[in-house]
Amino acid sequence: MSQKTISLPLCTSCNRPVMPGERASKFYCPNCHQVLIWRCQKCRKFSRKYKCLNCGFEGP
Amino acid sequence: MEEREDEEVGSEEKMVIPQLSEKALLATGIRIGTPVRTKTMEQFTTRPRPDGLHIIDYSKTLQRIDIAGKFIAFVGAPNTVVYTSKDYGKVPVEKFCELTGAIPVIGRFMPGTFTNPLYPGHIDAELVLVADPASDTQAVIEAGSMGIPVIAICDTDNVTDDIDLVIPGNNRGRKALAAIFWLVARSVLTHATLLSMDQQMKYNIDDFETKMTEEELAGEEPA
Repeated sequence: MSQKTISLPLCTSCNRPVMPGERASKFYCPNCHQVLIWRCQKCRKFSRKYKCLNCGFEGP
Repeated sequence: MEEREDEEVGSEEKMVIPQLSEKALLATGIRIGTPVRTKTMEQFTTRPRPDGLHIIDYSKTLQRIDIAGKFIAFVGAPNTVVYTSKDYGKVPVEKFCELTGAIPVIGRFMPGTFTNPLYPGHIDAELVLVADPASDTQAVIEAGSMGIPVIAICDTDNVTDDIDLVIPGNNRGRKALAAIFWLVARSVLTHATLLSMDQQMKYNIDDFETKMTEEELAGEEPA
């Protein structure tokens, strides 16, 4: 039996893995459109800040 | 004293964008907030007025409008849904969608518009723009369920849960809503290279405004 691993995306704000089926959102940075930003359900709910690693834009 | 007054009404010479002076922009009441200020909106406000209303820093509003315009231009306006349940937001949203090609949803937001593929009015949106997250909750919730990013115009008393990009501004005023949607439309067209910086848009802010009849105006006056 072969074992397979999956890599989960990490939330940009809290750096935790985003589980499948979670009410998360992903979008490219609104300012530079270079970096893919993931926001997990909790970070969206609590309006936690995210920061683009490329241009430094801070949202929401 | 004069300086203070100038700060309140704005200067006529200072241009915010080529066709719009600071005075004309501030006359729309774009930065007038509410007596309530939430923690998340604290970063966008300056100081409370003597009458208790919180004032929004309009330079941040303009900055966010520019970023929102970029975001919509990147994603593509035809994949963007613009929703408002407000009466004053109807005309601005219609005009915005006419200019940019976005999808307007006005009035009641039918549950399932984003989440139910069997619903005849189902829309596969990639981005949602709402005028007020407090009154347009159904659209925000459904966008959240589908993982669609949400841009929202937020007043000082709005809670920014499930919002991915905040545009701070007065979302209650008739003129203020018109001004914000006009500025976002201009930003989208500029970033999509459909309009140059010094070019005039097809409509001006007055065209974006919801016009009221004399009876409606009379009804608004206090008895």
